[in-house]
Amino acid sequence: MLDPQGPVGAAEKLILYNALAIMLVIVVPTILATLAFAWWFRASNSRAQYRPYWAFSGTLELIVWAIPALVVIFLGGIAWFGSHALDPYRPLSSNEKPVEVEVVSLDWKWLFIYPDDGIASVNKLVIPVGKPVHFRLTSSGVMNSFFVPQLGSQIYTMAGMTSQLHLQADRVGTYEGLSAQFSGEGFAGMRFETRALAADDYAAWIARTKATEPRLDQAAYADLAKPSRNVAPSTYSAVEPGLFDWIVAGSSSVVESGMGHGASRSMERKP
Amino acid sequence: MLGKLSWSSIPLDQPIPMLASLGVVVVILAVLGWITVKGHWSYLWHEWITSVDHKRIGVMYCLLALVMLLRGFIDALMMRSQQAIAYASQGYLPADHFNQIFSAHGTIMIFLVAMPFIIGLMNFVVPLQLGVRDVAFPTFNSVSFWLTASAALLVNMSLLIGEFAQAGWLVYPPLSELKFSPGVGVDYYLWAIQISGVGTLLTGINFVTTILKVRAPGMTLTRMPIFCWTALAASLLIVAAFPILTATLGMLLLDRYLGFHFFTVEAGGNPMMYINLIWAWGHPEVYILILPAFGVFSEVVSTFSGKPLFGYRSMIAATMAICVLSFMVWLHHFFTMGAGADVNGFFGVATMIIAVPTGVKIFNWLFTMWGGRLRFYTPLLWTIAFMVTFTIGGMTGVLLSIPPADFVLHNSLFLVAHFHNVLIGGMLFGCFAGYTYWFPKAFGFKLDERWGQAAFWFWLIGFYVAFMPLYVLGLEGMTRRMQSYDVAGWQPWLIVAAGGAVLILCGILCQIGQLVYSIKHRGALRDTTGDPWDGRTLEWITASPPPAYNFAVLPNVMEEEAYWGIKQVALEQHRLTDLPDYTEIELPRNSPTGFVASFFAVVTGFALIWHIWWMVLAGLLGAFAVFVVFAWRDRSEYELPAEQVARSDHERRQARVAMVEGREPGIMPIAPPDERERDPNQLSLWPGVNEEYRGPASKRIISAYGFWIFLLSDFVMFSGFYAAYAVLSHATAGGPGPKDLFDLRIVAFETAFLLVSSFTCGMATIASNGRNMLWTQVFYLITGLLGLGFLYLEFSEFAHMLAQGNGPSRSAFLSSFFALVGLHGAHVTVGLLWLGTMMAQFWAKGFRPDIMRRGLSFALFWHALDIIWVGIFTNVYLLGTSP
Repeated sequence: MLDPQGPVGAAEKLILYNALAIMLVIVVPTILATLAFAWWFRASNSRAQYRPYWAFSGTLELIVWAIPALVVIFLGGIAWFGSHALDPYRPLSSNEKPVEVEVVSLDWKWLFIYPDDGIASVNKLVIPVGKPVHFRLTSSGVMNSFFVPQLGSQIYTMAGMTSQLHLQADRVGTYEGLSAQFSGEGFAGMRFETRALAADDYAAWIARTKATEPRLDQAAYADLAKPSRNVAPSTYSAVEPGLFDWIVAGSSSVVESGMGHGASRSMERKP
Repeated sequence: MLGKLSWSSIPLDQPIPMLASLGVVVVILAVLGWITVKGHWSYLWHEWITSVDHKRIGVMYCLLALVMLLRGFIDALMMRSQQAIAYASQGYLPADHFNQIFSAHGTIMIFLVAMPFIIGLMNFVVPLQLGVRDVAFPTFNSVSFWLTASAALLVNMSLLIGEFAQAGWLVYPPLSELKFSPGVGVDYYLWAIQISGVGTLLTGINFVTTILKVRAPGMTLTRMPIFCWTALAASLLIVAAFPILTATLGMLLLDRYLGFHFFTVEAGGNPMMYINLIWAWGHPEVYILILPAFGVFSEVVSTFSGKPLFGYRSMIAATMAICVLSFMVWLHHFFTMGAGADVNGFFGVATMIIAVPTGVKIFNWLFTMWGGRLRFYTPLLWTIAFMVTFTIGGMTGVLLSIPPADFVLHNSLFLVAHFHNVLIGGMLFGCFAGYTYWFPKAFGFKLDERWGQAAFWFWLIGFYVAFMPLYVLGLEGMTRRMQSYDVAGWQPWLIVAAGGAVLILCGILCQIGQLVYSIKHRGALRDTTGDPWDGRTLEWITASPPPAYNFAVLPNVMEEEAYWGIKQVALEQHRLTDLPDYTEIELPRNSPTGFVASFFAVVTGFALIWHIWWMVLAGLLGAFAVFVVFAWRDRSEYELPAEQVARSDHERRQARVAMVEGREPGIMPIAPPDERERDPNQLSLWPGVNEEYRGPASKRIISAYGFWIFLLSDFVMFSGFYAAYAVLSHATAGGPGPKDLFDLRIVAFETAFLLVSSFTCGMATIASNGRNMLWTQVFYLITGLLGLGFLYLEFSEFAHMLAQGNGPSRSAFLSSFFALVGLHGAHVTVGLLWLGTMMAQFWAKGFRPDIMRRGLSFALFWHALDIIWVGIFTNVYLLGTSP
């Protein structure tokens, strides 16, 4: 994440640096003062004044409460506005129409469905450079977290629910993707490469994929969903329409509860 | 006959756990053999195992923590070495083993190292600092310890018999559900934590009651040492948070054992509810661990600076502010679940607000050093290292509390580095400081300084070498819990981190060396005066080690630093206080209750894990028998005659003479303050807080007070189940809903039965106050019959629903309904067993004060069940059937 390749990652890195800088202004002097006080007031230093009864000062108390409070007010602003500006559900500002990708975490691999083009891939995410990508995500069973560190935000994938995420790659390249939420025995192998391609190459990849068997229907999905580890990347030339929503509804009955967080807000939440 | 247990449960094909467990078994056998050969069994049994002395229990807690620290640290070494070599290879640990190791590491370090260490220090120190003779409920204290030890036993048994959880230290569902984790590992985790959770809850109740109701005369709340304040805050958090843990893990157990659907992905279950509930406990838990460590640092920095703690009342305010705020931040553990920007923003800001009182504490310690005369013994070294390290950890914590930053750092090694930074640099350094600081009080001799300083430097440098690389790796996108990886750039950092773990190992070896050396040279390290550090609080006024009764006469507290004031007067006048009038002392008798009850807890837990149902029954019957035998005891105290007290206190006073006559190096009178140093505003900050406190409350008050706190925690547990019901009440998964199922007529009868039984229970209390045996028994009998009637109606309601296929496994709604109402039914059942025992006692022993006290507690319990039922009746039945 120190080398972001998209607007989301870059904004998050900036926030991290800003917050770090603000805090270092307090933290560094505090650490230095700790060491300095400890050294100066050592028992063997006869020049240090011993004030055995000095244990209260209203002025100092005011200052020690005020300093962290002021810093927190400042940082709180960053947290609040950053939380809104970088809400994963919020579409990125762009003139381009976003590319739609549906993500399913399986035991232990990633399935990427491209509903607009009717193709799918496993453990390989291919996106066009410079265009926002809108992800809708779910899980076939246990929880995972979809994360491409160099592009920015991660988000949980949860069975029976849909979460959303907007990302964008600004430069051509291959970026490591992984699951950031432990999900069982094959967890370490849940890696995928994210390839950001120029528009022409992206179109070429779609065409090539469409021409390469097999197809992904419910039977093929059932086969894919069986637990397997360290799965090599592969593609599907066609996807049964509505497969994603079928997975969301099928792996559990629709969640109707309203706990205020993830649960209640399946796909209804409009960005 | 043996449930799921068979020879194949022992992992004979896996050399690492086999060798490890064989090693442990050999060590245990060797220790047991040595005890037998030396003939120490009787001593151990009478002086330690059955001891209810808070000092002995505190020492045993710390010993348990240190032993478990070794186990948890070996896990850490294995993880670090695996990751150091697992670049583009599988390393030497297969995934299923690696996953058990990190799950066990987290579980052991939090529940079996951090908690026992903190509780051990609290146990040893709090009654001494409060100037009293023991905690409010000494026998329950022993039960608490032995239940914690049972959990440690169960977790370690999983090494040899079966397996441990492979789902992380908080076993998130759905991964931890039966469908994805069919083995016994998660069950080991769940039952071990449930058992230790009960022990911890009892500790919380015990210490809230002790600190609020059992203090030396004159010790008003604002004269309490700051460590007692932090212990109070931690105990309050235990009472409020641990029932949530019990409820949450209870729901997961119901899912796994009885096919309920709280957190499954089928039938409307909601795994995200688990994550909310577990962190509603989990975040306060963090402060349960860190606040008492803050207390240790406060004591240490004040003692070794030779000054009172700066801003004492400000520190109290900061402690209590953290205590309250800790319940308002749990969501920051899962910003990435995709809750909205407002929710994330709110919890992010709330989290940062905790940094304010924490920052205040750091500054107050800083100003305590200002104007001090610092003596750099190891406790102070740990404290200064803590102030530096914890500031860094706090800073990275605030970074993680910014939602957009968390989106890229969540679950990364940055997070791992952060919480080790605050837990090792905060909690553990605090425990080590406390261990060194109070060791001479516990054993009568100091720990060797040179070994201690070597251990300190190894730990400190090792910590930085081990965890700073993890910050870097987290920023590079490496996530936690990876058994292998294929990014070449990560490996060098991981190798450095493994080197740091080796340095920490050297630190631990030095600590063992320190202990061995100090025991060998204890003659030279002897603490003769009882005040080896020139201390300021009451534990230093008594002998080292203190007598069983702590204080021959309860000290009379006149000011904030009670002992400091007394000592200064003595030093100025070169004489001790006048000889007091000694009276006989009443002390709690030793009791095997804790040990035996925990034996049955282990039996029941093990049987449940392996589905050996007859053994479950045997274990539960054993536990009930222990309860009855304990309740039947005739005497729980013994008396120490006044002459004996006088004799042993004479020795203590002799040892002090040299000190007050100024012949003890380093301890000298301090000139009284000039007027400039006295802040005239200080004492009037909180008007009215210095009124007199008359000393420990009567037994009747103490037992009722403790029981009230227990009831509060029980209400919290019910709230957990009620919250689950509220969330899941519409998740009917296509099955019947409340309107289709509830029959209000039957429920109205149940309600009437309970209400009337509360009335008759009250009448029984009145009759027993009037010492009328006949009417007491009659009213208790009617109460019991009404309770039975209630249970009968509830059972038939349940049976009817089950017969129609509407059992708890039908839908999440039905799961939460059966669990909530069934939990209340289980309480009524326990109440009836209690009632039967108590009636028998009244009959056999008459109106003895201790049985009368129990009658009062029973009445409170029974009325509380009534109140809870009224809540269930209105919120579940009436609301559920209303149009």
